Amino acid sequence: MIIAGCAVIIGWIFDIGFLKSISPVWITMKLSTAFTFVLSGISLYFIIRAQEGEFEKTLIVLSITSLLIILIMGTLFFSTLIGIHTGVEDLFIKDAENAIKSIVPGQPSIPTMLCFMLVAVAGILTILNPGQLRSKLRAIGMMICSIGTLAIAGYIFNVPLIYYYVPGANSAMAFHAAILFMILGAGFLCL
Amino acid sequence: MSIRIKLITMFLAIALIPIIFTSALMFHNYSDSLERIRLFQLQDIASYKSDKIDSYFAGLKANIKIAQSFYNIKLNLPVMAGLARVPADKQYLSAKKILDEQLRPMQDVLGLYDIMLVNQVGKVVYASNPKHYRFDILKSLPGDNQKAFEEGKKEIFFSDIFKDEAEENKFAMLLTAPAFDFKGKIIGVIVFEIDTTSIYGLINDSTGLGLSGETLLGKKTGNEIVYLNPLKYEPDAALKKRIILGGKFGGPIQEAAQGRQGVGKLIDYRGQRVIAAWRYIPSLDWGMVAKIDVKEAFADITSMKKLMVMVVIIIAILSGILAFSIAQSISGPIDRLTKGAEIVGSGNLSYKVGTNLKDEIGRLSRTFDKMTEDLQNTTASRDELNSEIEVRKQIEEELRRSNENLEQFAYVASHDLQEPLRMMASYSSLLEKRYKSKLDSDADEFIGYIVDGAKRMQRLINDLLAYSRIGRGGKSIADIDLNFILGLVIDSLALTIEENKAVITVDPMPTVPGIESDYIQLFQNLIGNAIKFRGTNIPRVHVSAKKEGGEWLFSVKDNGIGIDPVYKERIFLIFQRLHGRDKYPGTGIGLSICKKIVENRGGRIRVESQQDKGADFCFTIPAKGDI
Repeated sequence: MIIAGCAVIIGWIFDIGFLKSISPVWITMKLSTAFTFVLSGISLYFIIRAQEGEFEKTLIVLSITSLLIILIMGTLFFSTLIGIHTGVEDLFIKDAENAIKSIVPGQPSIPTMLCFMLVAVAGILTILNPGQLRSKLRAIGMMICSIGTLAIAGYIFNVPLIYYYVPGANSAMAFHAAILFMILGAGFLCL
Repeated sequence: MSIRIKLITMFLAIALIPIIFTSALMFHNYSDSLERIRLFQLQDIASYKSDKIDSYFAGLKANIKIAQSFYNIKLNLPVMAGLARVPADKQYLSAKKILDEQLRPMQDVLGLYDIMLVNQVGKVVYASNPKHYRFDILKSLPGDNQKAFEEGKKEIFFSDIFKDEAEENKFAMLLTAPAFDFKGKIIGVIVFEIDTTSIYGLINDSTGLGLSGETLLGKKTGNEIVYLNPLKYEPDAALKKRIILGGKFGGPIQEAAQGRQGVGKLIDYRGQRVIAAWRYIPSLDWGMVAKIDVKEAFADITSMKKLMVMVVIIIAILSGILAFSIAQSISGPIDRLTKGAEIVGSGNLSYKVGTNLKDEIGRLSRTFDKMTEDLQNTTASRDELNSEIEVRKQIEEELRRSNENLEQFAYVASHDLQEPLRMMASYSSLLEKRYKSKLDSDADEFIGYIVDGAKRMQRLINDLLAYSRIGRGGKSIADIDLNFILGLVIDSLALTIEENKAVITVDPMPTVPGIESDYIQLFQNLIGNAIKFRGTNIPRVHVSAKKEGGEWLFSVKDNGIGIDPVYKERIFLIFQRLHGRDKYPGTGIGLSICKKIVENRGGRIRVESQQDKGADFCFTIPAKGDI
């Protein structure tokens, strides 16, 4: 997850198309999404460490990653709801104005934002109560995995609505983002 | 990782991450907005200036078209062309005068250097500006503009900018247009020599471009771009400075000269990064650029960046100090508490953590101090108790030694007294036998007292000796079957039982550890007493045993005269008697012996009785086996 996120970030920095989007006709994974995947990977690793009873650095790292995820995705989510430009969309690299299946350049799909916020919630729950979380974490994993799997099905059956593309309302979820969500959700389910 | 480090890290992370995130967003949005504003400004300036240049040249173009239709030019240009070599000719002079009257005002109004008429072979035959006369007449167009002449014969044409010798090498350019006669046949070329000062004035106006900004013109010639105006940083660059098309420098003018328009951040002719707006002027085939150094254009952004970095650093420092203070306020008392626990653990109970904090840690510290104070008090009490125990032990030891000495004394005394007493008893009995009735009655009575006293003393000493022998070393502890013991006891008391017609009943008895003779003595005394202290009824004695917990409870119950409960303790004291010797004989030591035997075996003895209602002597012996 961390490697995949870094690869997409490199794709954005050096403008490497196949890293940003698996197919040129599919939506790109946004830079904010890629960065948040890196944070989510780190969060998952430290949630596992916490479940194994290792709390020494876990709480600090989870505080930072969860806070960053909430800040990035929370800002994007509310900017989507209110319909304002916050600047997170093009903070470091500007997305193309006519990006494929994107409603606002640089803005991820709403289910993508929700999945990341669920990861942040998992991190916060771990900070607040490291023990007796298995069922809650599994429920979160189930939701994330389902969202990712549904988007993959949408790509397989070529139904844009299933990978959350609603013209004029919501950008599509990138194919590799969907795969990573499925893996991320499975990671939580294995806890 | 210590609590202090964890708290500082967490606090800094939670305080700084949102601040940095928000600052980055604000800075990004502000710089984005400022960049857009700057680019719009430049776009406006470039559009304004290009429009002005365009309209200026369009005006000239319109005027030259008007000049093309001038009657006087159609009439007099052929005359001037024909008589150019004879300027003193009247017709020539007349034609020149007519043209001067019309074209000189036009030259002044339009701000031109000169209006020239050129014959069909490209020689100047008329110049409205007298100053230019000697430079131009019968010569080619200034600046060797053959192309302007050739093109001017076909249509209206703008030449390149050149340096005009007649104007002290100032920059000028030509506007040429064909001149036709009344039949529409070309008779020459009308030439406007344009003073570029007005164009340069417009171009050099740096309003809205700050200190570093400028507007510049360029034209593509082959694979080069030539700058057409004096540049701000290179005043002599006009017509001299050239850059290669596709080169690294002069990006904006390259874009403009190639017919494109736009805005962006590029490198200018100096190699400086600039924001620029560029336009193409099709009528002149020129490119125009309005630009400003990025450094100046985004000076506000740079200032804001510095300000934000400074603010973030200040917040980071303040947050760090605050985080450290908070962490210290939490971990400090904990450290002191830990240190206190170590000191108290090492034995110094007078140590106090001492804090005025009102929070949980403060309460914990005070509780700890209270605990050490209580511990100190408890320890003091314990010390006192230990000291008291020590004193008691010493007293008990002294008491034990005293008892031992006393018992030793009693044993020795009773043992050693026996011999003289036996002698006294023997000789007093002999005295009674030999001298009874030989002395007076008083003597007989006194001798009787002596004999009786000696015998009583013998019994007392024997009992005392028996009492003192109990528990003394020499006899080993064994398992004793009390059924057998009771059989022996009943046998030994057979005469007494028979005399009193007593009924003795015994339940099954257990086997217990002890000394056989002690148990014989114990049961003999208890059963003997039960018969001795009989009432009017036939004595009935019942001996039973039952197990209670880890001991055997024995009972010797009779139907005798009973004991007033007031005396139930006293009867076990040595030499204590409740009745006269004449009524119930004895030494008063029997129950004391019983008590000592039972207690030597680790048991207890007591009596349950009421006056005239019989007595029940109960005693316990620690159990070992079953019945």
